Amino acid sequence: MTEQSTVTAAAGAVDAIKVYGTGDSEVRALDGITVSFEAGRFSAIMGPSGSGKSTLMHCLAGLDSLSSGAVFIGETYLASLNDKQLTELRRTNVGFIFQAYNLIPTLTAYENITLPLLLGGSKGDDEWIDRVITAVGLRDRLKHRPSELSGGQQQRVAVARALASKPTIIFADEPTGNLDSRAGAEILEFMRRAVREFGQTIVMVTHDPVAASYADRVIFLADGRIVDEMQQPTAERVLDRMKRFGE
Amino acid sequence: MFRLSLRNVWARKGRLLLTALAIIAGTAFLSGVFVFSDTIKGSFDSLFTTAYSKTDAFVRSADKVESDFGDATRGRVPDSLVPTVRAVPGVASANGDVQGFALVTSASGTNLGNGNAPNFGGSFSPDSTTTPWAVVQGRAATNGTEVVLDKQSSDTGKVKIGDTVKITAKAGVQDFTVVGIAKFAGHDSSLGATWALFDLPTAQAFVAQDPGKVDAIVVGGDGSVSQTTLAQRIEAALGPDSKTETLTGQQITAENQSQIEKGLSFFKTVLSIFALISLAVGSFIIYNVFSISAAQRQRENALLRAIGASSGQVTRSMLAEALAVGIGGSLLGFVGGLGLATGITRLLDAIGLGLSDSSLTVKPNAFVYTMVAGIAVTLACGVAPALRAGKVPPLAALRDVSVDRSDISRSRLVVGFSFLVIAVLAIIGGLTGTTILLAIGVIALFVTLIALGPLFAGPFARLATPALTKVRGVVGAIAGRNASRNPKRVALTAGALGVGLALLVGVAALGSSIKSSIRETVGQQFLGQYTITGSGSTAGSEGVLPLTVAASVAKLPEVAGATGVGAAQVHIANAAGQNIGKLVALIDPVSAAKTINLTFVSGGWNDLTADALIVSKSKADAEHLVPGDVVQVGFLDGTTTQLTIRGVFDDKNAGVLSGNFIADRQLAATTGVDVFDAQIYIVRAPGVSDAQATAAIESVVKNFPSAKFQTREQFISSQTNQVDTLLNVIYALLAMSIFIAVLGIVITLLLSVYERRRELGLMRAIGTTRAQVRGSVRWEAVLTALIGTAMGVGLGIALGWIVVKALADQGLNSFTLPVQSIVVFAVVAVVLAVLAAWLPARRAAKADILAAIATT
Ligand SMILES: Nc1ncnc2c1ncn2[C@@H]1O[C@H](COP(=O)(O)OP(=O)(O)OP(=O)(O)O)[C@@H](O)[C@H]1O
Ligand SMILES: [Mg+2]
Repeated sequence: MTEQSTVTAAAGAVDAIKVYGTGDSEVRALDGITVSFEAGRFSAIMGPSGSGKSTLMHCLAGLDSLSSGAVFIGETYLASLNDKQLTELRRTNVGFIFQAYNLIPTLTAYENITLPLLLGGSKGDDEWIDRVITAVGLRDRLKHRPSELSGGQQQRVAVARALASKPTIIFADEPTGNLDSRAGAEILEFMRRAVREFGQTIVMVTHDPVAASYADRVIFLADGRIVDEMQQPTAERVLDRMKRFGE
Repeated sequence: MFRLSLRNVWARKGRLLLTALAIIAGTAFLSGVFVFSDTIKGSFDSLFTTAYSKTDAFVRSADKVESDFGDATRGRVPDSLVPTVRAVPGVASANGDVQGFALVTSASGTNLGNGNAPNFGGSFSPDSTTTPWAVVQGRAATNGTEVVLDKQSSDTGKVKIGDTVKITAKAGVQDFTVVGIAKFAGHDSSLGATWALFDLPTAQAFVAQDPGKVDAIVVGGDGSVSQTTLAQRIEAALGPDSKTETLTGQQITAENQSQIEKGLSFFKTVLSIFALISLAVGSFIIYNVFSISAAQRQRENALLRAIGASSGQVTRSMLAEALAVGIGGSLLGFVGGLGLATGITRLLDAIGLGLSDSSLTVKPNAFVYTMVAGIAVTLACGVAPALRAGKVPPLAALRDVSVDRSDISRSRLVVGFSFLVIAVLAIIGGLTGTTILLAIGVIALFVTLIALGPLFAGPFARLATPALTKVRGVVGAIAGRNASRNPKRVALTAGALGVGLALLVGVAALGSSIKSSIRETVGQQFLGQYTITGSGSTAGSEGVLPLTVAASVAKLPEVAGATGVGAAQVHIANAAGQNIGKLVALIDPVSAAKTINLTFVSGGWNDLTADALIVSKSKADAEHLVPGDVVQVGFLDGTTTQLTIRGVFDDKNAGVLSGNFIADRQLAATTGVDVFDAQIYIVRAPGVSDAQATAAIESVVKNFPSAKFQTREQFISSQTNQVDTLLNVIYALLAMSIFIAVLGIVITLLLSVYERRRELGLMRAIGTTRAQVRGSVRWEAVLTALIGTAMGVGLGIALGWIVVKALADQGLNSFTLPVQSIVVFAVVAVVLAVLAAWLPARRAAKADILAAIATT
């Protein structure tokens, strides 16, 4: 995919505005955001707490709706979809990795990984799933329940689940927020490999400059607006940029 | 701390409302039973108060035979005593009174009355100052062809003044002209009974078939002396030789009221048992809700402990909460019971069993018992969860403890199996006699179910999951996993349903065994092809055929034998003078030999001569009677006769002749006993076709409105239908338990959905459709219902089998599995579960995705 001359957008937003509350308590969580995430790239979103990162991601993923503006995934504008179609879209075109509470406690690791496929009634691509499982290194843990896995292992299951249905885009909200640096690094490394080797598109929200340095590109948000962008980031440069928010 | 509990109660209104629902449903039934039976009793009390409101003294025969139900059938007194009574100073009016059976049939051929309340005939004297009756239209009957009817019966039967009606009474069937319509103390009817009022001589001849005699002399005073003085004067005037007794108006009122109370207390006890069963089923749910909410609040309770609350304070606050819910729920339940009682009263009104005044009688006892039972059950259910809550270590607040603890402890197994052993032993002991043991056994069975339920529910759900996955894919898999994630919770929810179903299945098993026994023994004992059954009822007996019916049928050339079976209340004493029986079946032995095949241990139909008595084997064994023994039989009119035991019949299987004694029917002919046949058994003459015999018998039957012709097959079915009717009543009473159990499924699922809201949100986030979420909840409900059904059917078959075996010496030959009923119950349980899942499924499908993935 990286060889392609024109890079297509996997998802994006146009003039996205999200307002919570009314009158005095009004909060403009997104204040006119236009952005697109190219297919086959690993993007990071950074910004101070309350800057609208999670809101943007939820709206992009069709979990929440905009006050005005538009978001699209692939070639579909989400505003045109009803609840059932949105659900279908999430199941087939979107993968999720959250900071916590990522897995269904009653299902085994393997069942959690294949859940989106099973929900759609498809058997899925066995070979592909096999590759994903090998890549995340969970082969000997497949029959375990989430409560029997470490936090890092649970998160790897979540990553495998997000990849299993070969979605158009994967959204990750602080996927390493609950992990120590080593487990976090494993997850991040694995996400980068997914992009490099499988051509997966990933958008990740993070507070951690080191995590952001795994991405191909970083977008900086403040007060619901995009304030900056950085290509091929390194941890130092991201840290420098972040420090300027404090000023 | 108490204020904290109250605040908790308020903060968790939704969940507490769910707890309260279970309490409300359980207590409403109880309060309904109390209020309803008090209301019925109130109606009868006021009936008798009005009936005797103007009666100051009541003279009746001192000769009586008491029945096992506490009431007494009495002889009659000569009407020649009436003038003597009238002459007593202080007496304003004295009238002879006759009461008996009379079934009125309108010209169009319909029998008046609702078929449930009795059909009475009696005397009415317009000059009496004491009668509760008043002719409101037309006039009183003055001769042997006239009759007055009560307003309700004539209205509903569309009979007008001037119409001719057919009336069936002891003397046979006769035509009468309706000359008047009467009201009872201002009411159209006396509690639904039909009344035909004749002049005294007609009532004596036609209703009592005992001219010159009256059942009682009803006296009104002139107000110059007290009732007691008046009664004493009358007693003195009649003298001891008259063999009469004189009661005051108050005494006769009180006597009638207390008899009704005795009758109703049995009925009230039966209803209370079903109400307590409902409450017990409800207690499963109440306990479950407390356990679940204690588990869900573990974090919060741990936090309280961490900031310094003692373990006792946590426990007490949980108990205080239970107390508050118990009080609130029981109060609402009591109010619900008033509604229930009103509903049943209305229903009875609608089917014509109306009570003259339908306002509810609410006694303080009804309130007190309902509250005590409701609060006690709630507190009892709250104790274990409260203690468990108190034991939460403060550290649990800091750890992410899993809410679902599903381990089955060793002590649970020990307790469960111990109670199972106790239950089995107590039930075996109880079935051989002691009822209290039986009660202990059933309670122990409950405990066993609570203790061992999870042992069954967990594996059941786990084993069912693969099958469910096959049928419903991932939705089924998730439903199965959810059902097996907390076996204790599912076991209790399913157990509530299981207990209700166990009773249903047990009753059904008993019923089907009784029915097949009836088919078998009646089929074997009844040798003929046709029967005549009596319809209409009178106080004490059901099915009333004048003796002339059997006599007329027997005379037909198409008939080889026709045996009427009636019964009389008598007093049977053994050689030592002890009473050994109160009821004797009266039969014609000559025709009986052709129609009824009794298994005689000794003797036979030939031996049933006019001075003989045949006794059942069980009675003979119990009273050490052998053929040749002489017993004394006393009748209503005070006469006695010596009878010799001439035969013993095997009564192992209840058949066409119930009761322990059989005598020749001539015995009662001259003794003032009102004898009717309840049933006539007929054998066709040889060489006569079915059509010929039917036509001949029907030609007789059509002259007797209370007679109903049935073929052998119809008769046997009608016998088993009676069992079905009883079964349906019991099913209806158990329906409340099933309702509560279904409510339990709703409640448990709602709590589970609340508890799993995050995971449901996550499921929705990654692409589960609302329909799939709803499906998973629905299938979890179905699985729960199936677990309950499996428990209930298993336990029910066991219960039924035990009861049938225990009743083997009372005529139950074999255990019959009620396969059809079981299938119906199971299907109904699953359908109810699907309905129960509706609200929780909707809630689950609405799970908030964003709230679920919020990191806090
Ligand atoms: N449901 C809501 N109702 C009202 N305001 C909201 C809601 N959700 C978010 N907000 C507000 O919108 C703004 C953006 O929130 P958002 O969660 O997107 O921030 P964030 O960048 O993800 O912050 P963090 O790094 O702390 O996770 C914040 O000011 C927040 O208070
Ligand atoms: Mg955020």
